[in-house]
Amino acid sequence: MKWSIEQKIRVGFGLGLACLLVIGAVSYRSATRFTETFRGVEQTDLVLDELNQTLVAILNAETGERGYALTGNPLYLEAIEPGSAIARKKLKALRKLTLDNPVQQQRLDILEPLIATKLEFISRLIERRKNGIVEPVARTIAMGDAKKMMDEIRTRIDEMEQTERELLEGRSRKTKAEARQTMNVVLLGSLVAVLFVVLASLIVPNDFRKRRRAEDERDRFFTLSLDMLCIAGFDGYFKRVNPAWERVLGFTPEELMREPYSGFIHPDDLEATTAVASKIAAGAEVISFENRYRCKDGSYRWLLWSAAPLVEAQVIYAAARDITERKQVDARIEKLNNELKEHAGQLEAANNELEAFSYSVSHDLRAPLRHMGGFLELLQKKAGPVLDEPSQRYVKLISESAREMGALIDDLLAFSRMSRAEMRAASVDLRRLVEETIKDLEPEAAGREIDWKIAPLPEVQADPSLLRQVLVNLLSNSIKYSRTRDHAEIEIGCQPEENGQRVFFVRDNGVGFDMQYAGKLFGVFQRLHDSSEFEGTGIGLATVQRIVGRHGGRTWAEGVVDGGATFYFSLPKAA
Amino acid sequence: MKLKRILLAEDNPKDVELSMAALEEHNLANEVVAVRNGAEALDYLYRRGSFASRPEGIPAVVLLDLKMPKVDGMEVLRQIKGDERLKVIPIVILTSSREEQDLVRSYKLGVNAYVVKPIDFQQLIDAVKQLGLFWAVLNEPPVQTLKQAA
Repeated sequence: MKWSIEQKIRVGFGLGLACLLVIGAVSYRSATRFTETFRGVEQTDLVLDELNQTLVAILNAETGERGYALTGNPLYLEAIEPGSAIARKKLKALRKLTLDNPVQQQRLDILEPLIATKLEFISRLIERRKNGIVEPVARTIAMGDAKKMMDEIRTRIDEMEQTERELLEGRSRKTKAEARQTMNVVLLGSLVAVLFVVLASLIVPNDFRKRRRAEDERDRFFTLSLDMLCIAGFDGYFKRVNPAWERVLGFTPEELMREPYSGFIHPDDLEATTAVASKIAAGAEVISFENRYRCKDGSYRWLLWSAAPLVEAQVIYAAARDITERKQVDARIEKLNNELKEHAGQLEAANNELEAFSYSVSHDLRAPLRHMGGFLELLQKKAGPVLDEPSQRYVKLISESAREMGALIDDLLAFSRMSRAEMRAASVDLRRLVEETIKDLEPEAAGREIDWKIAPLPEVQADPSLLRQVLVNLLSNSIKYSRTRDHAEIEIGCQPEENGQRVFFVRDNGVGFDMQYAGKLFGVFQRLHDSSEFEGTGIGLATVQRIVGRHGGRTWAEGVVDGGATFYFSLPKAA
Repeated sequence: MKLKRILLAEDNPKDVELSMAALEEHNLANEVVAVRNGAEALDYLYRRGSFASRPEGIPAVVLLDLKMPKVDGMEVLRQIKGDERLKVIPIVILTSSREEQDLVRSYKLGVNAYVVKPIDFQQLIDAVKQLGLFWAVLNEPPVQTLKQAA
């Protein structure tokens, strides 16, 4: 488990405190016991003393009695009375002192009557002597009872003394043991406490070091960041900003923190910013908010914000990125887009115009030609027989020209229709399409010796009718421009892929062309041969190029004057 | 005044003349009434305006140019085919082009045939034949038939 430094400190202090409490409690208990024991010892001493004094008092009384009995000297009497009194007093004291000890109390129960009897005996002897009865010595001695009694008392007192001494010894032994135990607990506790202190002094500074390092690292990132980082108070002031602010806006951190940050925000963005700030203050996190900040030079920079609050500290942590350039790029893109849209609109308008134009061309431009043709026919019918030969030829030429122009207009219209027609891509078996096209072109090849060479051709994705148009144009060109050959050869083939494009070609051994003019081949109405040589409108290859281009491919050609021509077209493999 | 069997709506006089020449060859010119625009064509069909006093009945066929001033051929076609009484008249569109959009639109409106100008009589006859109207156009129809149709 990973403990935070606060937890470690708390646990360390807790354990140390627990140690001190244990030490305190043990010491207190030990001291209490010690005092108790000490009191016990004192009491024992007292008991011993009292016992001794009791014995002495009785002995004094006996000595006095004997002296008086032997001498009759009243001086001896003086010792008796106090002795008796003391003995009684001491007994009472003993009774009190040994209240907590039933054994001693029992012994006192025996001792007290013994002493009382002894003292009574003494006072009876004294009375007899006072009354003049002098006991003979023998009798006195014979009164061995007295000695026996005394011995009995002595024994009892000795016993009590013995018991007290044993008690004392036990108590002092116990005291010593407890003192030792207390010492041990204190020592151990202190040792543990010291250990904690040592551990704490090892661990805590390490943690503080780590924390300091983390703070240093954080500060370094804070300083290094290209983004503008800040801590702002709910009061509307920056609390801390990183150097990026100065780099971007030009204001020093002090300048930024001196006045409310709202003073730096673009007036138009102020309302939105205030709303967002209060949302953050309410606990929301905000990403991708944008507003403008004033620079020292008076210009404004667009900032992109992400911010989160620390509500308990009443601050907002925020990071901002200068997106002014992106904004400018966006604006430029939008402008370009609008321009493009405008252009597209213009193009569409132009396209519509063109369509209208070609529609009107198809109707209006053809009408006069139609009339020319029609009336020429009528003229021929009516005046044919009377016209001389040159006039008849003129009529024929005019009629031909009208027909030619009609063909030109038709081709042009077809070309423009083809450019606009919607494409419907499908899988096309190119070889089959080539064979079908050749069959369609049979009338053009009538009476000719043509050697068709068709290589294996793949399936392609294309609009079938448009692709057929391409083949019709290319193959009919090859037929047309090879008609000067007794033996024409036309080859249709396929080349290795180039840049993901399949390349096809149509090659003939016809009249070819000058490579110098290769670029003109595919232009509308561009012709490399005059129509006396080869008839045509010059729209066929333009159509081919337009169709192939719409499929995403390209067209080109190679030729040698009188050495044949090869026309290439490519189609995207995946198209 | 006799009811003409062919209504030709064509604004271009040269086209009218060429068409008439083609019909002349087959002695049908007398059967043709030529109008210059769509409005006149409708006037003729509805016997109003300058045609208010024309004989009753409807023509056997209408040859209709598409591009005409005032009311164009497409509109005339739309009105004829939208009229219960007139929609039985076969309509042949005369066109100078093969603009697909014209074809599609006029077939949608119910045109009966399409002939490319200038009218080649053979072409017209073919179209009319296809419509099964050959006799209606070329033979003098019984007058009562026309009256019944009217």
